[in-house]
Amino acid sequence: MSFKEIFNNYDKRIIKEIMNIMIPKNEEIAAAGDKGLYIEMERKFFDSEVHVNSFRRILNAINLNIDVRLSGSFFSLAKVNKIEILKYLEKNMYDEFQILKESIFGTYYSDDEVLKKIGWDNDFINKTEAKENVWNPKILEKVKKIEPFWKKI
Amino acid sequence: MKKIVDYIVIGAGASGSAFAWKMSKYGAEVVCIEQGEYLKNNQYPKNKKDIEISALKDWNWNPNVRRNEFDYPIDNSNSPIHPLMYNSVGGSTLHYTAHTPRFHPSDFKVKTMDNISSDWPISYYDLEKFYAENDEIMRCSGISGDPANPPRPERPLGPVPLGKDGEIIASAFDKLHWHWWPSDSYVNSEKFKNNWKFYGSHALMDRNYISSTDQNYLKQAVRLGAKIITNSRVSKIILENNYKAKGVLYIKDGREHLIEGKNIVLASNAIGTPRILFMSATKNHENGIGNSSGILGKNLMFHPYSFIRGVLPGDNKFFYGPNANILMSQQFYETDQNKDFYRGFTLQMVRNNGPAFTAIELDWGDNHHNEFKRSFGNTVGFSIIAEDLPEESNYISLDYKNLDSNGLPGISVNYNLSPNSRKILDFAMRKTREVLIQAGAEILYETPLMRYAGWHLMGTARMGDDSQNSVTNRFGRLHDVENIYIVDGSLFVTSASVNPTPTIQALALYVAENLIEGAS
Repeated sequence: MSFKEIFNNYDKRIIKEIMNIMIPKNEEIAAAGDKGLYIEMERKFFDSEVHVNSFRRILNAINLNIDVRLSGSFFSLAKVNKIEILKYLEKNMYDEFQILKESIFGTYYSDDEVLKKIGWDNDFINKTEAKENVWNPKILEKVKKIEPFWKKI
Repeated sequence: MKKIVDYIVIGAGASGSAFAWKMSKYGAEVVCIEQGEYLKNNQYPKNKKDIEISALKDWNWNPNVRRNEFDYPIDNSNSPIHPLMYNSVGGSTLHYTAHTPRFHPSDFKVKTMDNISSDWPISYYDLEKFYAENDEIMRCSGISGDPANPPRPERPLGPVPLGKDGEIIASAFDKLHWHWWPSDSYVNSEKFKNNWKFYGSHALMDRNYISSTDQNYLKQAVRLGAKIITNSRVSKIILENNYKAKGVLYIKDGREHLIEGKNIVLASNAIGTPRILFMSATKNHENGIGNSSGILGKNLMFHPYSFIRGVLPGDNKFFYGPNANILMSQQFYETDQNKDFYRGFTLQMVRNNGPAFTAIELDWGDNHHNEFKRSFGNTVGFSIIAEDLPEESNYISLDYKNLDSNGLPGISVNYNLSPNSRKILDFAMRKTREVLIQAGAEILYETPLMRYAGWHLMGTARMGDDSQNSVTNRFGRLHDVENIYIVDGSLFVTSASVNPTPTIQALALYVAENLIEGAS
């Protein structure tokens, strides 16, 4: 199955809307959904059945929500109501929501534009701080004055 | 390979590796069967651009998310804490913080000290020389003189520097007149000294800096003649008669193989080990081998964790150095008669994560960017690790609805947080706030009970002198079968409130040495 067939266009619109709500725009960068990161998220996470199924269950729960059904669609709701639904799902579908959250934030915070803005790059793990960091034995001066208090038995 | 080997070790993680090394050194013929693979250096995420994505997927601690072919499913629906592990050669030492404090002498004698639970049949002093032996092989970094712990020899390596953030927290403890001490750690302080770098989120870091058993114990064991059979899942222990094992059946490449051994050694962690014993049930051991007492799989202990993170003022870059083995406090480790709970906790300082993990921990929505800006690189956190006491109502059982890739049953976990553990955590959270405020931090968020924090699996096949109330004797040998041994965290009678890896490994070395000496 190709990635494009995993979610239909309607589901993708809902996912992008969730992305926009969870990570809105800031002064320089568009919101996560509007930034076009859905495709990147698909590439990074949707080869995992666990991730796809978690998204599917969240989408099903949204589509079955009474307010969504009464108003006709998720998009017809005011932002405050959308947030209310997502908060409810976060509390009641904890594991699935956590996967959704990790996928959205994992994608956003590995985007080059975002990393540049926050002063990070993905090779950070291979970089070292310029100055040497050494053990300072003086740091123990006070705690060493505590009498041994472990229980002998 | 001879037809009948001396020792078949099931599992090549922290304990199986240590046991295999000790026995190979002694000259025994050892075969280690491991369900996972022998990972190559280029399979570690240090070489991937998206290290945090790896930690969320293929290198997730949670086998239910990772779902490697050699993982088995775990139904957590009846547990507020989810078991975490890594199944490969090296086991969870491939993917751990490597924070390595020892148990205290009191941890082995809680019945005697506090009139609760049970004493271990052995003492701290029975394990002391094996702790030291293990610290040598694993290359422990640390420093002597800790007033909260018994005196011990110098560690092979000096302490890892605390970093500026660690020094701020140390100073806060000093002002409160509370105990703290640099963490013992299987992170290599010598390599860190001139190369102070980002450790990585989720305990994923450059393999050159952290000690794992695939790189030390097992390499040496193989040089001494041990054999490791990888990608092979043990389906059953085969008995020769009711009291003696003959060998094990394992599945490799879709086919079942029999290997015969004089002794079988289980080293598959406190979930995997009882799983194999349950799967090996026979007509005369209908509830699983080693289960005449009925307590196999029971008394499951995790370490319940709370977490609090605070923000320090300024634009700091507190990313460098180990993530979670910086310093610890054991000010409230022991039972205090003036408090309404038994036993205690350890506070463990935690450093900043990379961007994705920082963000995931924060609230989503309109305030997200402000919170991220305020906290990224500026936080200090505390893991609160509470002692969990054993309860028979906390148990694992086979799950025939969810099968592994070989069609073998998964595991169902049934666990409730005890009122005593909750009281410990509530008190500890109040104390943690005091430290953070003393350090000048503002509280950013609090997690009263961490869900994805079942790193420490203990107690499901406890050791003891009474065969009605334990699964093995004091030497790790099953009461019911004369040549089956356990060397992992299943043996724990109580849990202490520290990371268990050094104690698990010391136990494995202790069981091995007693076998060599014929004491078992």
